Amino acid sequence: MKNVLNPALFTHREGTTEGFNNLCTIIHQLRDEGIYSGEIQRGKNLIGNFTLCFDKKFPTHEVHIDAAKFDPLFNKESCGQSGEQTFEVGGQGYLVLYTSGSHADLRVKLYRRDEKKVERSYDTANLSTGDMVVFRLARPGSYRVQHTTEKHGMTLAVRSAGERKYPSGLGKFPPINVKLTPRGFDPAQVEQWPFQALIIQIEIPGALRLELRDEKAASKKAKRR
Amino acid sequence: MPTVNLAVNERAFNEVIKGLGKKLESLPPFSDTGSFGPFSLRYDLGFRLVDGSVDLTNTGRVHIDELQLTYDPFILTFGIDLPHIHVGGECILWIPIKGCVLHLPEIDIWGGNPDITVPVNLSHTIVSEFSGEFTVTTRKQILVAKGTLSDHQAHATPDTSNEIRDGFRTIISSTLPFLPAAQVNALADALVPYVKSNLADKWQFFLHDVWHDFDLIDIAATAANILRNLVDLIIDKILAPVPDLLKDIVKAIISPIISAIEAILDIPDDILEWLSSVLQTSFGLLDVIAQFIINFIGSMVPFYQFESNYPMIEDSTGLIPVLVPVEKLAVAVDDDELTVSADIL
Repeated sequence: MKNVLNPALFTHREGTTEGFNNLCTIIHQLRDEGIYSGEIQRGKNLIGNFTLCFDKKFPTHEVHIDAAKFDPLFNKESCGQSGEQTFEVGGQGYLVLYTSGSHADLRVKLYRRDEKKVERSYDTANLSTGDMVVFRLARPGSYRVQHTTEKHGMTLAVRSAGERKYPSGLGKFPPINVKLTPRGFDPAQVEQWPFQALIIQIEIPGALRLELRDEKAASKKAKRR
Repeated sequence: MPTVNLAVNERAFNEVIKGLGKKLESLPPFSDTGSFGPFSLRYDLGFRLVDGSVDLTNTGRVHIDELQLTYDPFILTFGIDLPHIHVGGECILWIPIKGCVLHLPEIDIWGGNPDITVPVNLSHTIVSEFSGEFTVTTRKQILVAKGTLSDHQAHATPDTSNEIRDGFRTIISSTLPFLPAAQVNALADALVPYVKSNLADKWQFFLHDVWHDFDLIDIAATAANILRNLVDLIIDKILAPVPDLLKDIVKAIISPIISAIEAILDIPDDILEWLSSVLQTSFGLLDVIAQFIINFIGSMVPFYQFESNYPMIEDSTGLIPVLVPVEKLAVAVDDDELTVSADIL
């Protein structure tokens, strides 16, 4: 029997925004209207290009770009449509960057195109103030989210149900919000269910790293309850 | 008017049943697909005769008693088209008047087109039983191929036509419409030798269905358990690639689907009755098999036949045989034998 479940859900345990994987979604808000060209890299390899048009008069406030859709091998296996080459966004201008596949080490660069020159306006490897980083973790355990240069960190505990059943609303719980300010993460400790989203509002530029510290910590805690 | 009596005992009937059994075994497995609520169901099935007997009764009827069939192979394949389940898609920024302006991405739990098939092997685990009562009917076979031949010429001429074969093909294809043409032809060809001989007209004796009963009567405990735990089998198949640590998490996410499968595959304790109902409702399978047996003994292979111009004296020295026309047959059945009385013209 072929594999029915999405294998990408269980591939990764850790990640970083410098080269993101499917544990991480990066949200960036465009400020200046215009035409942008985008590059999607996997490691050192360029896997795709796109054009993005931002005009506040357009009706949609967000555009979702799935990096996996630019990989022709992924599209063949998942029977999906090939990645679109041109995107539009209007209104609030939110760009939602993620991958639905098991790809890792992804990086998206945006270049603003105007009449005279092309200049890089955004790079996911170097988050900007105002960005949001979303982690959605499936594996129970104790994690650490660390800013790569400012030494700020927070702990994230993904609960295990232990002997009991998981709640039936798993995957639909509201996200947990955290801020990363110049003073650090607020709150610095968070506990959540598997597949519950953790949204980090970025107020200092840089990158974040997610590490799994102890996979068994969550089940030990569940047994103690 | 002189008459002649012929007697046929139970052995002749049992030979026909044995022949039926051999033919069933030689049938290649056949299959069909049907719907069973939101699921699809397919069977791949071949069957064998295990036991059974024919009794002559003093009511003038022939009783077929507990003809047992077992099934090998017998694969029931359940197909399930799973609905998509997503995680994510939450609204994370809502602005008055504008509404939700920012959502998180949706991730599909399934890898692609979420349909699964679960084959359940029930070979050698199910037994059916066919019983019935039949009257004896007679039919005169007059082959078109005989043409203008005289009775003596027809007696001496082998039937090389395809008339009997083509008739069998028609009966088999209408009884088992899902059987591919190649299998229909193969089965018809296998049955022809039971009937075909020369071009002479013949009286043929068949068993005509008065009533019959065909049911599943037994299922092995192992097979019953497999069916009883079918939902668990399906869930285990879905979860097979998931690391053990995450199985309970995925089960919680797909719990709406588990509940739906449990509700629909609510297999009662009486597994045999459930299976019988499934096979009959989705495919009419039991009716099909019963009808095949009835057609076999009722219109294809006579349990006895003889030439209507009966060869009273055969001569091997080259003289023409003495053929005596036999008409106005009367058939009587008692405990011991079937007796045919006829007028000799």
